[in-house]
Amino acid sequence: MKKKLLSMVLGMSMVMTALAGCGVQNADSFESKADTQPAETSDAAETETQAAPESAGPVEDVDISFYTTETGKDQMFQDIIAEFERLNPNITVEYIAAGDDQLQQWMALYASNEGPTVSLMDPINIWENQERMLELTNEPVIANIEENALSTMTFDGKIYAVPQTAAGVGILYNKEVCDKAVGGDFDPSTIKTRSDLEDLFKKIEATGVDATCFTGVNWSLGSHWLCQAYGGAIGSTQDRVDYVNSIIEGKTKEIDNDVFNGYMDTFDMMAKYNHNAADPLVGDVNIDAQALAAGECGTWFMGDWAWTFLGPIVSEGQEFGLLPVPHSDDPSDVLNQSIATSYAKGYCIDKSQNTEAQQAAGLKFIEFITSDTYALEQMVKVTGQALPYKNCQVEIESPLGLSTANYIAKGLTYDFYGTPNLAPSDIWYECGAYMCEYLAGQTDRKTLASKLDEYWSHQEKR
Amino acid sequence: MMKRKDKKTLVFVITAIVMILFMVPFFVLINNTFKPTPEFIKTPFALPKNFTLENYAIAIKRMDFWKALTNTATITVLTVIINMFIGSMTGYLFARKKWKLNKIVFGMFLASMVAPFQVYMIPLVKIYAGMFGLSNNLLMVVYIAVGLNLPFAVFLYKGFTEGIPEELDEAARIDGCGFALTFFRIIMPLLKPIIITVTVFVAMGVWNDYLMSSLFLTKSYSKTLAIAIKTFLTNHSAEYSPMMAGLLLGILPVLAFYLIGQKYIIEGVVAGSVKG
Amino acid sequence: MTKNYRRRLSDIFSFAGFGLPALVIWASVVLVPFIYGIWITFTDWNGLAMQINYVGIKNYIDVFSDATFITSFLKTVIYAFFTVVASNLIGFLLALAVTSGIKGQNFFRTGFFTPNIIGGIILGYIWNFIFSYALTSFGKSIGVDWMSTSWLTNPTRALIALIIVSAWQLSGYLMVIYIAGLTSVPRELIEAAYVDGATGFDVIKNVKLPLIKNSTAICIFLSISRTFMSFDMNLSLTAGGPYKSTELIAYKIYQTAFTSMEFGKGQAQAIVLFVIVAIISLLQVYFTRKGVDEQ
Repeated sequence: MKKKLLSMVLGMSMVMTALAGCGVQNADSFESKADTQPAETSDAAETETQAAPESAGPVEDVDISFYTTETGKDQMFQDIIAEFERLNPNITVEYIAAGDDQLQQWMALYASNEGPTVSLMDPINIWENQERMLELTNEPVIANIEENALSTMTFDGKIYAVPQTAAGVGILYNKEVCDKAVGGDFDPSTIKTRSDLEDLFKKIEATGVDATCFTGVNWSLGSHWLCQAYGGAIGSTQDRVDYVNSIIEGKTKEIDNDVFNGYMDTFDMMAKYNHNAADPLVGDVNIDAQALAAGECGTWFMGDWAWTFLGPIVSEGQEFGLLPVPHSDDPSDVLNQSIATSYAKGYCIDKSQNTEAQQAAGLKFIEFITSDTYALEQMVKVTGQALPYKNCQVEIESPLGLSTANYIAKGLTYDFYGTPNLAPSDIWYECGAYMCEYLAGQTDRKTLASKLDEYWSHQEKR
Repeated sequence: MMKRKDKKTLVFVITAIVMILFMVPFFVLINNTFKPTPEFIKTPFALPKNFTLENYAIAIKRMDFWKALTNTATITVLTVIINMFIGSMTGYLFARKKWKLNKIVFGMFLASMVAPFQVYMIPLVKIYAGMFGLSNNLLMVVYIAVGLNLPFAVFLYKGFTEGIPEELDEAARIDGCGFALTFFRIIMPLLKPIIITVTVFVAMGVWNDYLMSSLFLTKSYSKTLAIAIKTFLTNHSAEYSPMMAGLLLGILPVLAFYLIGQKYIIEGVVAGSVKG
Repeated sequence: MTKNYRRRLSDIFSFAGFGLPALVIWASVVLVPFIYGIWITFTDWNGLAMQINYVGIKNYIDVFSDATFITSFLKTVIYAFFTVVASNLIGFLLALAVTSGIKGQNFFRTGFFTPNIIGGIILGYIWNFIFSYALTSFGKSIGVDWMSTSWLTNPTRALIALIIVSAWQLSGYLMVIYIAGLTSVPRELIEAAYVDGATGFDVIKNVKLPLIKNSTAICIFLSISRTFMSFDMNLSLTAGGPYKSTELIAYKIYQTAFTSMEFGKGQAQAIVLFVIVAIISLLQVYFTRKGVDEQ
């Protein structure tokens, strides 16, 4: 034990001198001697020059790492990795899954000089760290991606990530309940306006069932509902960015915007029929999923990922689907019939702490995970969502994912974010709180809008 | 005498009632390890309708339980032993030698106990994992755990050493014991109750630590129980039932350790009161 | 002269042997990274960026001009006050009970300590169920209004829920320290007091309490520092909700640093918190110390 202690004491004095002497910049130049990747370097500026000469032999063994913020899918990713390693015996992929602390762990990995070769991250995080990322614009892997899925991963015309799944945001419905309410076969395409939706709700309520349900949690209300107000209804991606910028600059007030008010009108309307109205913030996705499955409520504002909660509890023969969220009473507005699809996560490659050989292996891995039949099958089976890959032929089992895919096929979708940096990374938390407050009836719309203005005023221009 | 016996019964009854109240969440936890997750969410307080042991099997398999248990135990045992010696020795020094230097160091120890870990956690990683490349090294985690728990241990040891009359030291010194010998022969045995107490606290803290160890242990072979349980987290939710089963399996060793440790606290007291 | 010299030498040896290892380990694990952490507060580093720019004391100015930081701090003070009082009181009473020689003492001690061993998200989730569903169905059945909606969706009641759960957890922890103190009270003293005709309450007040002053000081210090640093429980029970009304300071700092990615500002908030809590707790230690010495 004493020896160990002594060596630790020595280690510590090294820290002291290192820190006292040179500060951070030099601190990074320490070579790590432990079991980390070969030829590891510290920060990017040096890497590019150092790593360049050595990427010759294709049979050289490469260790890469894959960090995922998509939690609860360890088995799926590990199966895909196993298959990839079988086909590429010279590449070993270290699997690292985040918990509910995705940014903190990513930071820790970078602080350890072990920045993951491939990371599955939110676009905003990739955008904020593009200096560390390998540009993928001209890589062949991009050719297999649906063009309209790329905008969230494109910054200033450069592509830095490959989208994972297309998540559809909308109002889930229990078909059985809706059939009963309309007295026949319920056709979701008949819902073209806010009034149509309210009619449906009234009919559902007439059957003695709560019409809809909000899960009163910050990420659903703040990230999903609120961000619709910066969505396709504003206009093109450029219009949306301009709009957000004008709020940031204080030139526009949220309360004066028709789109915001439109979505909030729908929100108010839905809140009247809310299954959780007695205690609106008690929400819990699992419990609300059970309410929808059991037919205690007819619809539920969520998204197609909810199949992970619904799937295990639905009975044989039950049907579910996705309804768009209408923001106006204009039946000719195609947006009222469109689902917002969000490419919420993308695969990116680190170039700041990975060698060229590792980057190349990482690229191979992304190519595999976005085009290999086995990988796609696993991905569709487990996530139940549509994949934005041209060669993807896999049948979706999840009725919700299928619903999204149908909207995509009909062209009735718009890109939820449009650009990677439209919404700041903490909007779900900060503005989610304001939305919860509003749902609980603690503020009026004007106060809500001014709080949103205040929030935006602290953001940098997009 | 009879009256005191009655009183004891009363105390027993009250304590038992309070304890049942205290244990409600624990009962809920145990009860729900025997249900599938949807049933837990539907009826968290009912007895299992579809009794199953599957959650335990899932937990053991998915968490790579035995590997994680070994890692956790290694880290905890080493940390606790090193911490016990260094902590009690320093506590003794600070209790007996009121030098200015000791007071300053002790003050800094105290202050660091209220320093939010967040302030130094990323720097910690930058130095030990980034500069020295010591991530995924169990001994590194032991070293850091010892350091993080030292102020707390020294604080408790110092406090309790001060409760031991200094005349004992004097007597030992007259018998020819030096500073070190006095400590190991006379004082340390008397510290038994507090040693057990500190050991239980430190062991529990290290055993359950997630934040610090997750910064250093990212590879599958180096995971601890607290990190492994993360595998049951899903986006916005979790697979609660297997998670609870894994949690329960993981804390049983600590509970057992505490139960055994209790016996020694009592023993130590008897020994202490005879000598004191 | 030589005597003095020898004495100094032995002092140096005892410090080198008994104090230095702790000092070295602590300095390398806590002090050095801490100084590094302070340095970050003067930069705009977001935790990931490769460029680090000095911004002077901007982060500190931001902290003090941020009204939500101050609100959050005041809430933490309220939370800390009630939790410290409740957990020490309950912890002490529990310790008294399980050292009174009743049957099954060890079993009780383990039982009361158990809440500390189960941690993290699961515990928060179970309590969430208790506050949101168990208590509400009870409240509905007896027709009490304030119990028929979830405690966690009302700002005041959510804070009370946090205090209850924290006190529940912390009291078992403090109990252990009180036990260690109580068991070191010589039995002869207690017996003698009873022989002199003292009642059980007298014994507690006049014999036990004065003799465990050290444990009390330790417990108060620990409970203060733990409540001000409270993070896990805050995250798993309320996650700052409803609408950020129960955002305790440590949780807020975490959100600033790791959700809003304002790492430098988060670090500065943490340093401010550190200074305040350090002053509070050092004062507390100083005054209880004084109390002990005056005894």
